[in-house]
Amino acid sequence: MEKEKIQELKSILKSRLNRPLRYYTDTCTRCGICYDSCHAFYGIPKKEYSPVGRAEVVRKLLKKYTRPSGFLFPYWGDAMKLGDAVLDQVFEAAWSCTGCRRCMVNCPFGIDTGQIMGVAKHLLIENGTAPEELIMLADAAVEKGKSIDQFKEGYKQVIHDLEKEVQKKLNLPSPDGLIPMEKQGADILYVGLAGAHSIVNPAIIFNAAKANWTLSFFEAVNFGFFAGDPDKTNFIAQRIIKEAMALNVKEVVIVECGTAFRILRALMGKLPFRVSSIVEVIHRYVEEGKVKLNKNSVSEPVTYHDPCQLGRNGGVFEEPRAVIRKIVSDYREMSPTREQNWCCGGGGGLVALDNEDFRIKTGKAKKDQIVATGAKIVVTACENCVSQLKTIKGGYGLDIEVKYLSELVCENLAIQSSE
Amino acid sequence: MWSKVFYFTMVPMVYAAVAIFIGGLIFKLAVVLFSKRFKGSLATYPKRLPRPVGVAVEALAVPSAFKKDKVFWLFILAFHISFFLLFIGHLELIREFKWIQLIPHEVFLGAGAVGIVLIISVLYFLFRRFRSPWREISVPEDFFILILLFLTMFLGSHLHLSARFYAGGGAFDIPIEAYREYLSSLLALKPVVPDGIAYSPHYVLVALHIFLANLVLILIPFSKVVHMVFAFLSLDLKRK
Ligand code: SF4
Ligand code: SF4
Repeated sequence: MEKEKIQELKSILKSRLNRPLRYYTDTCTRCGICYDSCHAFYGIPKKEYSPVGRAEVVRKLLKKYTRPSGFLFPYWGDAMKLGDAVLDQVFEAAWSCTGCRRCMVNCPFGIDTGQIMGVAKHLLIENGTAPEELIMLADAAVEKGKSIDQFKEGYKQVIHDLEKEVQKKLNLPSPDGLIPMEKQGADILYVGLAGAHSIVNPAIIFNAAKANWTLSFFEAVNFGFFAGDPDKTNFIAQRIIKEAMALNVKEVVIVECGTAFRILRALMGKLPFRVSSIVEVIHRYVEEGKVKLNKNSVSEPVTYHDPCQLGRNGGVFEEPRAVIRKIVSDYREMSPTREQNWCCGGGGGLVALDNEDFRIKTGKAKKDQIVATGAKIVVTACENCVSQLKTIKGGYGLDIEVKYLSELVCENLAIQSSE
Repeated sequence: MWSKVFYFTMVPMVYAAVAIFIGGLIFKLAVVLFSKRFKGSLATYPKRLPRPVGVAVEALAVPSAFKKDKVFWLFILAFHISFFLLFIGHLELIREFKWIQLIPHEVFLGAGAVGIVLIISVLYFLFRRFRSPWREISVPEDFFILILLFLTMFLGSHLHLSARFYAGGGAFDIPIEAYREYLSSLLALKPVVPDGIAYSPHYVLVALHIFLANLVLILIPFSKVVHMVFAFLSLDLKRK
């Protein structure tokens, strides 16, 4: 490996050594309690897919280049030098981790292996070996942020077509204004995704609740975060923050995408508006009676998959359950559940990569959980989770239907006829 | 020559070890406090207990270990509680503390059981690492620290038990007053190694015990044992 490259990678290691990373580097006792808490290890039981196994790869590099002991007595903590073979290990560690943080809730010191894998991904970007798909998607999002004015007219046209779907569903006289855009002073700025379903279903719900809302020009998903690039993560998130501030909205509501929600809610520091998930908003409307649901209209057994970034890492556990319980008569909880729920294996950008076999294998824990419930419908509230659950369904030949929470809600909306 | 080596171990090295221990911990904390904060929140949910209570429960009762492996958890608790009692026991080797004698006892607390529990726990931790998968995730530091603790505790326990049970016809019986004279003189910065220790046929064992304990103190801030401080800080991040 060239000297300059090693220098660049070393400086990344040093720059990433913030307060949490220092704790995580020095505190891990290699007790192994987290060893089998990772769904990847459950599916493919090898050390490299255990949380401590993957974290140690980065920790050994940090020890080598940021600790005197790594320099003086490298054998003491098995400190490792940067090199191509080591970077292959870094790749395997980083790109098999979804950042679900199930290991974190099972570690006696609360060590966040997802954060450590953030360092690994950053090293791979600098090394030029990060997955190209994600880099390209992140670049496209950055580009859109820089030249949004060019996109606006075309996007409004697309949205106008979607308004007709909303009109049809709600039996309204006209489609105009059902998906408002650039509405100054709206209560809510809703941020969707590229797929029509991520806009149409929430639009139906907002309209049913007669909410004062407006649609964002951007997609909520943050490919910069998935790729592991802190600058692009920030830029992509700032696009939405700036838009919300320019429109002077009170609340930014994020589509069913766990990571996008967590980035804005927890990782961007204090913001001058409230950040909610669409799941929380649906729950709020149902509780306030603004949205009425057809009670017990689904009799097939239903289970709910907690997206890691929404549940364990976002604290939204009860709201989706309360909504589902209103609609279905046979709700079944997965085991283990809530903060101990198994990750589906699609998060952290993994679902966007060409790795289906791997994801089917590492989705085994989820498959076993679903099968054990006997549910016929699996509801969740995250784009990545839906894609991955469908991959699991196909890979294991499961007889299930996978649905978004917003989809289930729209299908079972009690619609008042328009006067 | 040997008496000089012993004296070095018993006096200058103890001062150096304590200075490195305290200075090292302060240094480590200062480095952490001056490093970049994380701008967002690293919290996990649900947060069932108020923050300080939650951190204390997780750090002191180790529920994650209880969930995973009850035997391991038992040894973790036995080790850490005994370590605390050991610390109190050593305080009593400096001078008498009335509050410790609330439960009247002959020094040490536990009549030797504490040392034995520690030795068994350390051996359990060590042998556990000989097995897969813990063998694969262990690094030399893990073995070295456990072996060092084992030797230190084994010698300390040996000195205590043989004195308590009058082994060798009392040859091991270095009186508690001798230890108190030695340790309080160190504390008063007027160090002496009293005759009761220096002329005991087992001076070598005392010196070796102190030598190993010095190494433990020196290593604490610069090894994973720093978890005794950092555990609280990193668990706190999880609840912020
Ligand atoms: S549970 Fe925590 S301390 Fe133990 S090996 Fe895993 S990350 Fe390290
Ligand atoms: S964050 Fe999730 S995927 Fe990554 S190591 Fe931990 S349990 Fe495994």
